Amino acid sequence: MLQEDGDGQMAWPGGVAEHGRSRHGGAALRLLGALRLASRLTTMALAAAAAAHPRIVLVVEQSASIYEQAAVGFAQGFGNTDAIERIPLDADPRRLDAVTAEIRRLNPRLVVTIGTNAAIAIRNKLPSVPIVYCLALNPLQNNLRGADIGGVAFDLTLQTQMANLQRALPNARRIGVIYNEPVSGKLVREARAYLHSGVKLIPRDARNPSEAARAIEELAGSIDAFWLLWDPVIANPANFRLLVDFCLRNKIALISPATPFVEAGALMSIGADYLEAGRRTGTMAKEILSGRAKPGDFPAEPPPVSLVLVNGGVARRLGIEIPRDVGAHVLAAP
Amino acid sequence: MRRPGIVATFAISSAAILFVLGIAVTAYSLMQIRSVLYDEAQRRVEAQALNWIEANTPQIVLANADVLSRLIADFAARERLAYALLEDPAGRVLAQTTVPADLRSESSDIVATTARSRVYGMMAADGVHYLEVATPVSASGTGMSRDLSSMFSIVSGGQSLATLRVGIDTRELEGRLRALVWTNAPLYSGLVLLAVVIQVVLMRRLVRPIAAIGRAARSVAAGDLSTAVAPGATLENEVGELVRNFNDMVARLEENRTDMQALHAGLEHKVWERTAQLEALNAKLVEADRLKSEFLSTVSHEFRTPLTSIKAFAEILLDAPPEDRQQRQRFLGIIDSESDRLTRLLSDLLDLAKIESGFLEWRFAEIDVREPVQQAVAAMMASARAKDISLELSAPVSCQVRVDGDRIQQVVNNLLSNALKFCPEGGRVSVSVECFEPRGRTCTADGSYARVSVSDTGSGIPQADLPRIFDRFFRGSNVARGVKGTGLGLAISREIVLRHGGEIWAESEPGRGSVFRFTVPLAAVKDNAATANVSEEWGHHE
Repeated sequence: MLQEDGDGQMAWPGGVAEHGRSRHGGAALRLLGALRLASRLTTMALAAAAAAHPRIVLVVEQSASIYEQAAVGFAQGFGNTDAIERIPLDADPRRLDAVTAEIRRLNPRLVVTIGTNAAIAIRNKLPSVPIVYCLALNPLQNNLRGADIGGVAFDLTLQTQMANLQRALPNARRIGVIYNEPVSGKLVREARAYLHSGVKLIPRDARNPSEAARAIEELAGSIDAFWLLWDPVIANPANFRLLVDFCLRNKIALISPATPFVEAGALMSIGADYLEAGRRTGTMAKEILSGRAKPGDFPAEPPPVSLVLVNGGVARRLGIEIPRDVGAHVLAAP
Repeated sequence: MRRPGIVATFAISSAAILFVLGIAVTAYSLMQIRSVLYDEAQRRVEAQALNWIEANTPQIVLANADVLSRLIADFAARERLAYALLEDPAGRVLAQTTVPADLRSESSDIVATTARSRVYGMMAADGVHYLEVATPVSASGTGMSRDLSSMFSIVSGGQSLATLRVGIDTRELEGRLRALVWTNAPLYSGLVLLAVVIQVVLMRRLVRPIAAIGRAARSVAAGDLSTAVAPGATLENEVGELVRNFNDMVARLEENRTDMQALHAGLEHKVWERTAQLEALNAKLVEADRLKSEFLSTVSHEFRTPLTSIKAFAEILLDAPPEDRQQRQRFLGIIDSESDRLTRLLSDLLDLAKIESGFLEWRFAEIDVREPVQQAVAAMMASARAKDISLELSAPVSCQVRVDGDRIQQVVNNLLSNALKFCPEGGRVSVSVECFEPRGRTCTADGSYARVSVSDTGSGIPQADLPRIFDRFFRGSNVARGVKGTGLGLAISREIVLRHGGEIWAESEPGRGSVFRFTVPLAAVKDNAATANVSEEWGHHE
């Protein structure tokens, strides 16, 4: 078996080359040289072939830095970066056509997407291409399902979210939530099953952002914490601003589903560890390429590791202390 | 039709090039300016749109139509926009100002893309073009972080919350462009004109010496090589070099022509000289030919005369011999005399021919010239006595000469024979020998000579005959007087004297006799007493 030495050259393990040099002299050296040359040529040929037809095309959304973390994790999890052709995807819808054209040209064995919009867009444009997604929000609801598609979802399981929330805020007894019943009603109802005794969910149904804005103010004095859902009626810029302002004014802990909300004023986020999510996607890709699995074998797998990020400044302002056993990461106050 | 000159050609071509170049540059500049103007307008409107979006995002999110309509109307009026409208991701209009009728995109292509907007070319039913800046109302437009915006984008399914479409009337932009064109067109035209004028002036300065060279070349072609071109202000450039070279060439031509003229004149002179020489030679040849013909005629005549007499008397003697013995004797005497004459004639002719042709054998020897003279005098003494002529010789001193003694004696014989022939009975013939040495001047090769003179007291020679008496067969009045002779004696004598380097001549006055003299150079100057008595000019040995 050959392995790469420190100089990038291939050598027999266990010093066989050195041993052979002493016993067989020039013949062994010539054999070693020939083997090294053949190995190098093979490597170069494989690299060239990989460059011409990469086994994986990695489509990474450029809209958020968290996707970059996932991309780094993917490379770590997959290992062979030579087999990866990375294509960035920005918000320009016209760019999508160029990206799909490039994917068709490269004809990879697998497309890996990082980001919800990337997964949806590539799935819609290239329905027959095997896809492994990473950090895709609500993949099943977004029709990211089938035998040739699978991957790691953006959101944690409801159980994990609720467990982390209650561990991080053991004193929170009334947890408010605003949602649009057609969109998130089921989820809210399921969440009740994971609440500890004495903890109540205070839900408000709002069918549009304006109703949600009014509902925020109506929750004043009736909740200890607010659970922000991935629901457009509440998770939009205007209402998020209202919510942050409302929570700070009323000393209410705002729990969000992703770290960017923490940076924007939420107390904490209970979400995926993006690096680990990427690593898991990498191992999935490796298994698929090795033939041991298919994309459909990983239907909306939740992120393997959860991450609790706390805004230190907001916590101090609210007078909330997060228990150490939660293992929360703290975002330093500006 | 006359073709335009260099200056006109250059001016026209320069103007054409500048015009085309100006059009091209202007078109390109206008495109660039247009692009800048449009880009600036796009950015300005985009900034206004983003500001409006950021200020009004909560209202947009809440989608309160009444409020949004008022806000957008204020916005369009404040920013002097052609129109503005806000629509949701599904294309439903949330609020708008008055929008031009039948507004549609001119093409599906995006004219430009800025950081946050897309720009489209639009056209209304009335044909007015608009530049539309479509700015998505997204979280990024609200001043939130990129990551947070991305989160909201996830929630909204990747769509923007709404799109603010703002139209700019391009007539304003195009008007600014036209104003720019009309402002700059006269300036550019003036610059082109100025450039052409400058080029024409420069070209005229450049071409002036060339034109002068052309005129000078015409003059040179016409033969005037005095023309030179003034180098002017272009002395140090290529044209100046051309002028200098031309002037040098003309100067060389002038020099060559002068040389040729001199050569021509010299050749003409030489031809004239050669012609004159040839003419003189030809005249001599003609004269020689004439003399030859005359000589042949004379010789023939001279031979015929004695031969006729001989033949006639011989025929008489043969056909009818006279009975009288004396008469027969007289006839035979005549035949004998004519035979002698013919013999002498032949002998003289032979001598003359030998002398002239150079075949005569000369026996030069240093002798006293008195010896041949004395021998000749002695030989003629009997003849002189027969005619009762006093023959005297005066030769007081020795004159050493280098001569052919026999020939000198022949000369003296001829002269004495003539003198005795023409001297009447009782007359006197004197022969003298003198020796002359020069003093201060040269008359012969070594300046000294002996002179032999034969004088008689005969009838003399007519002055008209004197120049010709030494010609062959010239007998002058002798023929009329019945004097016998061949007419060759003096000619032979002259040839002999001339061959000795001497001279021969005659002096005579009719009725007072004649003197024939000839000279021969002395062999050497003798130092003896006889040479002491010399005249002032010529040493004369008495």
